[in-house]
Amino acid sequence: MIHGKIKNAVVIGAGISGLATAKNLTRKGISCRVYDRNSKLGGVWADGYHGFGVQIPKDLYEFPDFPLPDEVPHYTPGPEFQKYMEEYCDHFGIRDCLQLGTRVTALRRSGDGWTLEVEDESGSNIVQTDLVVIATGLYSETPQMPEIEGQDQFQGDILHNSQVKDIEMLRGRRVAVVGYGKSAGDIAGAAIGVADKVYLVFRSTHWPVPRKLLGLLPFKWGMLTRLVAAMIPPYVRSTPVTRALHTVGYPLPWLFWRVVEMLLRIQQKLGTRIANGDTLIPVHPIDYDAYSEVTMVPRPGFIESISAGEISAHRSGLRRFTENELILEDGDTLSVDCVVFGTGWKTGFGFLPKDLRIALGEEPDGIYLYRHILHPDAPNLAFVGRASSFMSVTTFSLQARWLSEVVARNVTLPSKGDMLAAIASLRHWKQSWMPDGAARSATLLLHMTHYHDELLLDMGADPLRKTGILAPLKELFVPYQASDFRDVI
Amino acid sequence: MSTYLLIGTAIGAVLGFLHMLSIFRARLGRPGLAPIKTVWQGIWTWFLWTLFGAYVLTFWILGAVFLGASKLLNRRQAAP
Repeated sequence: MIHGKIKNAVVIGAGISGLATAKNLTRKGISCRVYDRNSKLGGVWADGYHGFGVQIPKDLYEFPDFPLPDEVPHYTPGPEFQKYMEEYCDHFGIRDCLQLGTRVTALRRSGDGWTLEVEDESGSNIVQTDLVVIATGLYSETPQMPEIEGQDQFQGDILHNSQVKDIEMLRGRRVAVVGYGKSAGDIAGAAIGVADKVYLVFRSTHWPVPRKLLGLLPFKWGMLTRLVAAMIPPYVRSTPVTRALHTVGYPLPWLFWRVVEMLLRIQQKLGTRIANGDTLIPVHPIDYDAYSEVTMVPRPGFIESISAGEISAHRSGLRRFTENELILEDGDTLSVDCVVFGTGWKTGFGFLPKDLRIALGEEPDGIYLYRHILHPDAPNLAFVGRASSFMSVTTFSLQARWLSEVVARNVTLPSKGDMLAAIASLRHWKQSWMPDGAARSATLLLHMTHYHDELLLDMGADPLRKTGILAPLKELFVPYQASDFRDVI
Repeated sequence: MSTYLLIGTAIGAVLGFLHMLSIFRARLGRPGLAPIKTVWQGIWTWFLWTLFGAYVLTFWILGAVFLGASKLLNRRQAAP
């Protein structure tokens, strides 16, 4: 909900979503300031663990209106992506908006707008603005580190993966990496041949998405087409006809996903025996597991390293630490001197005042918003980047464009009642079938095409992006990529 | 075999026609969406459903058989 004429805006966060927002708002003649606590722009790409990088191909993960240079590798390394964001900033002339090394410490309502307290090296300042855009992403700056009994007496190091800036930190050590997501896999894989011993400990496994299906077909062809989008549960507020078709036709997607599971089991050798006779086969079906917070695109050779015993995998929870051991729930004892938690980050918006979080209806699975961007009970406050998608840069760029069109009154929002009803539908839909998790409210993943369609229709743009005489065929069988959205961003 | 192909194609044609109508209903008259593109999309949708109707029916039948068997097995395994 936007009240009054917006002349200036504060964007919190200078990552992908923050920069895209600044670009779009400045184009509408709105004066923008972008605050980021880091002294370097880029958000999650400003800095990272050893060898961090993008896990999906670059044609899916780039600004639609500013393609990555040809010389950049197909899977963009983190530092190169940060450099690319610097170039994006200069290309669109938004560098003057940036106020890096500045932390927002408080946010208060002031008339239709907001008063912010910001803190930098020189001290605290008060800033007035008409619009606040929160572009800090899904996760907070607080690492997700479980409290394990006895960790005070452990003589070794307990680290979060973000602290492993150089893999040499692990040289000659006996390391246990905890987790089964991308960062845990990356650290465990990089530690092979460096560390004396590498353990990987995880409670549950997830279906891995290989870079190439059957070693031939890039995963986007098998996962990110409209044909596959038709094989997943109907999107929120689907028509009765769609729901009926999905009910009667259910055996078809059921068979499709079982075949995908079978292929992944063979290709990724998920039947590999690990400690205690366990395997890497996930418990949940892929069409459910795909909506969990862990998306697993394993680094090449990761599963093979487990099969070869270079990584000793243990499917168990953690029970307690001793002075130099990690004792697992399955009774195994790992003799280690370093434990790295690849367990992600906590969610939440701790910097938002409590009354605002109440107005936003914050729940254990996050904040539900209209189009994942606005809440009618928090006027002149917007979120960009609160959506998990396989094409985050495109999704966030579309959100930023949508917001700028709303602010410029080119997109008319529905009534407050209708927006609240849409939010309630979204909440009910997600909570009725998606896996529970702290970021469920923002989960899109395989439904991202449906979400992109919504934003495009709101903006009066055609959601069918493919062109040419065979466009209808391409719509069905050819995956979308960032460049398909170039003329609407 | 030819009867099966005919039945599958006919089912595909009916579903495709309904799908085409739903595309027309959702898009025609909506600002920003080109009517020609909508009609082209609709016709192709109908054509593809008709062309692949028998295959879709086959996969649906296979899915129904395996899904039924899977549910039966799960029920037996869950039984005390």
